[in-house]
Amino acid sequence: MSLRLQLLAVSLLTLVLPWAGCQYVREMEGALRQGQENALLSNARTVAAALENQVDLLYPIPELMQPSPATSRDIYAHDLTSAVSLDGYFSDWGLDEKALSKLANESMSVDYAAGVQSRFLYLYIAVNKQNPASSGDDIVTICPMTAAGGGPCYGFSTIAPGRVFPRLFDSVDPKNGSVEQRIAGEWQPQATGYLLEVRIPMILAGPRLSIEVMDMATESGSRLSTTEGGISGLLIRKPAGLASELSKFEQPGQRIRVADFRGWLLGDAGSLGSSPDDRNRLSLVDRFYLRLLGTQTSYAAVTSDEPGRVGGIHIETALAGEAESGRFQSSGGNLAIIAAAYPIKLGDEVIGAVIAEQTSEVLLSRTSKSISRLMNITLLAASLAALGMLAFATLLSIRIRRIRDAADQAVSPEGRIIAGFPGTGAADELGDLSRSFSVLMQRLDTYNRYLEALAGRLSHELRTPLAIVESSLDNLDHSDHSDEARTYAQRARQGTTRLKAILKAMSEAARTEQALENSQAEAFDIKEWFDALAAAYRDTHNDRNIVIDSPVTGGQLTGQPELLAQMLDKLIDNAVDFSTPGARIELILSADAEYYRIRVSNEGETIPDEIREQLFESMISHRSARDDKPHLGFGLYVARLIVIHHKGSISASNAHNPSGVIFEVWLPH
Amino acid sequence: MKRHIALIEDEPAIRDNYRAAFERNGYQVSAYGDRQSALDAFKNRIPDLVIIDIGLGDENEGGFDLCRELRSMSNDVPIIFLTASDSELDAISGLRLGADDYLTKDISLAHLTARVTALFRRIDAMSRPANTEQVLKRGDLVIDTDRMSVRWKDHAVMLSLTEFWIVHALARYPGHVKNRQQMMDAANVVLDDNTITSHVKRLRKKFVEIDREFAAIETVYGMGYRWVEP
Repeated sequence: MSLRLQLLAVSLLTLVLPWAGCQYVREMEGALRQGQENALLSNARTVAAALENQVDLLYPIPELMQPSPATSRDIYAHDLTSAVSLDGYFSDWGLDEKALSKLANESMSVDYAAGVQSRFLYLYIAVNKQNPASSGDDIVTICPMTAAGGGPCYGFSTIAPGRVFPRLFDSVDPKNGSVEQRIAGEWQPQATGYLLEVRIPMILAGPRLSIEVMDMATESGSRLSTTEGGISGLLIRKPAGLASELSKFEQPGQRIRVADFRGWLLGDAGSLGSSPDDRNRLSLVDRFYLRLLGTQTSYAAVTSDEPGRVGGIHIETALAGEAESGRFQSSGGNLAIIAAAYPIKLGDEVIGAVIAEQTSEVLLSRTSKSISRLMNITLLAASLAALGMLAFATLLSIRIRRIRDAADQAVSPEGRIIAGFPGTGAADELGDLSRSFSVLMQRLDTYNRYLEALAGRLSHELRTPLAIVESSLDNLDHSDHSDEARTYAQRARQGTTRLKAILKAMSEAARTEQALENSQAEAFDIKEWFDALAAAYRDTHNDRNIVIDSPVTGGQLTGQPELLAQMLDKLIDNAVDFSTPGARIELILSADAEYYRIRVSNEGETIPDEIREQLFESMISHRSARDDKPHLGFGLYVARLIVIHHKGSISASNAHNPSGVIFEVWLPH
Repeated sequence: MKRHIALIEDEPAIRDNYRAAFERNGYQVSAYGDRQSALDAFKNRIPDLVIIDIGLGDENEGGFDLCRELRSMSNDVPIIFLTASDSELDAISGLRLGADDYLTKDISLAHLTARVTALFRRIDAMSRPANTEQVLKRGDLVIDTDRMSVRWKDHAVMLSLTEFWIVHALARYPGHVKNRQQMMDAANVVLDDNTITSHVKRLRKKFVEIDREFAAIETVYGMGYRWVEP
């Protein structure tokens, strides 16, 4: 994997940042919520403690603390806030339809509700019958019970719609009781039955109340009642004074409710603060983040908002005696609420519960905003870090690649240093590396040059001693000496001749370099030059089968023809030396758009692979036969010097079938 | 009277060997190992021929300075330069220091003495009237083999002895190709191919200085050179 990919993978580690941040925010949110719940709980506890000392605030009438029998229904009288007129209709009560309680049997059903407004008790009774036509015979009986216990019942019956007054119910003669003018009712016939709205002054109402509807038309007399038998259900109202007591504990954004042990709302204070719009203020991005991180907890049980009642798991737990808090969704689904319920105890008995509530919506939107801000910032930071790493990795890989390229270019395939290596000035490890490379190349180059010049230098040093030997031998020839001495002198002379030849070969490279530097280039016709030389070679080496071809129409080349001839001489010498008499030697001159190509090939042994790379180096000689001429391996080295001076290139390769060697020289136009 | 040769060479063995060879040939030889002693001697008496080793002692230019000073003392005295290697030969002969010949130290004694003899002969020929029988005419070229001088389009061409022998070898049979071996034999010297090449180049240059259109020496690639007459 390239450096860049590696660093990119490492930079993925920076994604830890947003994740860690979210974890933190989630923790914080949890802690905050917990804190909120605890605050609510302690608030509820405070209220409960206060109320425990003022039980009569909850239950002004001790009778209200008694649980009712299962057979009788308690009736809850709602506080009516809007102006109610006695018109027989429920709509002006300002209550939700859920406030209506239901009674039903096979032939009729009754919806009823009770409300209190300015010292009057209102009752609303809606009767639906299967047989509406017989409504005229119905009697609706209201039995409020006074505080002393017992109480009259009042019956309503009518033939015509409008204002009705009840008669005091006399079991003996139901139709003939005295009219009670203080209680008024409004009768409204309906398609399916009739509506009756009743107004009773509070002084006539007691702690208990029952409502009964009787259909006189049927044979057995169909009857629906809130009381099935025995004692009537209680009439439960919000006690006066509780609200003002509760308002002492009011806190902004909080609502405190108090319920009795049956679950009826006895009082409340305060209101839940923020609007449901907060949730919609979360943008799409915010919601995406929330979903991604799963901070959106699902809210548990919906609190009942049946008017007049309180409901919810926490309240049930509190009414069972344990404090409980939790998060809930409000009825409309648009509010998230934190609620705490605390039992009000009298001794060991639970007589009610205090419920403190607060919307957690505010908290939610704030945390979601902070989550999204956090996510944005950390994602930005992470991507910046990743980009930074990527850029840095790219920079590094560019630098490393530059060093590699420079190293590649500085050394030729044969191992000669052909270019300088630029060391950078950077202070870091890469800079050190490139400088080390540079120094390495220089040393290598220096050493190579030293080696190459070695032969030339040696030969230079040897000349003077050789001159001494030769001149001494010359003089020796002229002096008198015996035949024996003469023989020795002759041998000595042969030796010096060979020495001279060796010296000459050794210094050839240096001399050629000098000749190359000193002589001037001239323009000459390469075809003429080639043809003349080729012909000469053919004549000279007539024991080899020399084949010549030069399909070139002549062209000018700028260079030193004598030196190029020298180069070609060497190639031909090699071709002749490494082949046997009768072998085929090819000499071909060809041209393309950019180069002239001279090809010299001979049949014979091939060049072993390990030698091929170094063939053009100085002092490499690979000859299997020994002959008189000294071969120090300079021939091809000099040949290459000459070719390179002409900005060309030279290469050697093997041929097979038949085996042989091919040398090719390219010279640019 | 014996001809007096002065030899300045710092390597004692070579110096003594050369001296022995020349004395054997009937010359009187004064040998010096350094520049100063030679100069002191020249102030008293100018020799008939001076052979100078270029690389004298520690001074790289020792030989050149000596040559200049000698020339300021005498315009005519023949001077032969000895150089250590052919490459130096190339470099130095191009300098035109006013020497009559440039040789490498690996020349054999026989060749060296032959040249000395030829030089003396040239001097003697210069003082005699021109011997027309020894004059070769090839087109614009006039060679006086007696005086060993060359004229091109009636301008004198200053050639060293080696160069003279090369021109003579080529121009004697115009149109004939002389290979390098033949040219070397004619010049009484063993040179390698590169040196012959540079000698010919210098030759051409000297002629071209006189005549821009000079093209009488033609290279025959692979074979050698020949003199062409237009």
